[in-house]
Amino acid sequence: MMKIPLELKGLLEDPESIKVLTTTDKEGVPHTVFKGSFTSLDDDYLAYVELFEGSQTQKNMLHDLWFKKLVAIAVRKGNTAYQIKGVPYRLVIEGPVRDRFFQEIWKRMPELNPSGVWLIKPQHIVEESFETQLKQDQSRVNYSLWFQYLGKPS
Amino acid sequence: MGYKFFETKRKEEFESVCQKYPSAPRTFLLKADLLRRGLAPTKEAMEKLQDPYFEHCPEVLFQWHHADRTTAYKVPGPFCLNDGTCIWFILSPPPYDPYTLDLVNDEFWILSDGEPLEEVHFFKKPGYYDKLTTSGVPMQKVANLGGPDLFYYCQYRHCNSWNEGLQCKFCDMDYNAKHQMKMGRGFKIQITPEEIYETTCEALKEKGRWRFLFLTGGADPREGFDRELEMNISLIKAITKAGKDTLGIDRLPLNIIMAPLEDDQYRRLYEAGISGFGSYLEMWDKEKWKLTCPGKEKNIGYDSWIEKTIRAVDIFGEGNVVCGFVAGIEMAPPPYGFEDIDDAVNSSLGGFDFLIKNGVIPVGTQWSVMPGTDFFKMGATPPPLEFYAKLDVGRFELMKKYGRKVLAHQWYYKHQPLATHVDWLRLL
Repeated sequence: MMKIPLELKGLLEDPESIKVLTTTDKEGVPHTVFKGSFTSLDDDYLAYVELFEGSQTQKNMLHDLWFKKLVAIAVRKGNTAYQIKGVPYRLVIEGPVRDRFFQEIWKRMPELNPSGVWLIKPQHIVEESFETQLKQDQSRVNYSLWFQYLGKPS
Repeated sequence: MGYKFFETKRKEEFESVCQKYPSAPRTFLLKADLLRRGLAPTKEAMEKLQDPYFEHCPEVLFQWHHADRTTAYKVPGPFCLNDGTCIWFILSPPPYDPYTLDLVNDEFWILSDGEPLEEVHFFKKPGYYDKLTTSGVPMQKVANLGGPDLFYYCQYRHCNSWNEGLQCKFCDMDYNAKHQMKMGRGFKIQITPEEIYETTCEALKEKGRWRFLFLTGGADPREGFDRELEMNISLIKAITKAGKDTLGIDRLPLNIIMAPLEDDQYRRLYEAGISGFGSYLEMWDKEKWKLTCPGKEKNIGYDSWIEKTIRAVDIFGEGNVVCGFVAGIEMAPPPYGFEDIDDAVNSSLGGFDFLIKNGVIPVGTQWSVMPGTDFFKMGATPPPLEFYAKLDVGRFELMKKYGRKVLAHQWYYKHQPLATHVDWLRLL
């Protein structure tokens, strides 16, 4: 099972990082939403609170769980960014995990009745920070250096 | 039709229905089949389930199992699959060709012929379960876990129709009451307002656990149901007081299932604290209903039952009145049920359509052939799995046609582990 790196865990814990989830419906149509509650449950699972039973994301997550479809999560703060692809594993609707996540939600939005806590098993984790991508690009072919200098406006 | 339950292999039937109805999620079909065929836990799974962390069902309203449970092992009530589908734990003897509950890597799984199908999760025992009321009644016998966040009261474990042998043919209520008393499990027939008040106060201390409260029990038609109503109102007031004293709120999300009433009786229920009302008609076909539910026919009558249920919408509002069906009794042995799947399904779908048009939401519970029931004594067996697939797919078409009108506020997938219609609502 793929382990979640410490840097990503820290990024997910940071309330100022931006977390985006993309799921697909049964026709394969993507649906993208912000999910502020995204975090790592442990070394193995990502978790977020689904607030609404009837949301498109909730329906897509069910579908993606049943048919083992990948979902994508993008996390970013400043120049640090990750792309994770994983499969929905479980909707936790009862027990200590649900209680812990729900209590956090209720501190800010006590009137909500969240649906549950989705657990996602990562399959691919790619570090996508600006520096990393720049290095990758520059290491590909010599002409990227050439273009950078010759393409510059004088 | 030629379907013979005891001669039909679980795995073949399940796979064949899944292939024939690809639009039906497999976990929903598995739920219908688990309720139909039941479970046979391995010794290892049963021993792990004895962990006091888990909720164990006090079996107060109906037994649900396909054979009398006389073991010392405790069994849970509801459990869930990874997708959140909630299912009731029904024990079955070998002729039912039940699914297996076993451990895989020390986790609970449902297996079919040794093949792991779904990981399952059992729920945490509510904090009040091991406490006693001042009168000495175990609080779990006053109310129990109806779903992961459903607080379920059964206030009266006797139905007066049993006194005259006019009980519904699928019902085991009085049989179960006698069975539980024989088993010496702290069981009592009628719960008092004091017991219900103390239990509710204790349960509500577990903050964030409960979403809905639900009250149901046996019927008492004497004096135009006024006796039962008076008792229920005293209990509802006790529950409401517990909400006020514990949480400081005036009204709890409390739902009741009982026989349909007169308008002034509905108003009294509402004023006492009931937010949602439901009555169980049980089945739609009028002639078969008269045969299957002779006590209901004698005390209220088919047309009156439906008219009164519809009138409840004026008091409780749309989305807060439901009419219950026992899915599957449409295929009880003739003349009680239909022989043909399509006849049975179409009868029920016609009833659902009529009720939705009139502001009443059809809900239900899947038929479990339980010891002590008349149908059990007749040798009845569950209908084919295909019946449930057809009923679910047809009902989902109705759900799509009527949209959010079919969403009963207190009937959702976490609140009804004994039926699949609540799961299909998730796809709307």
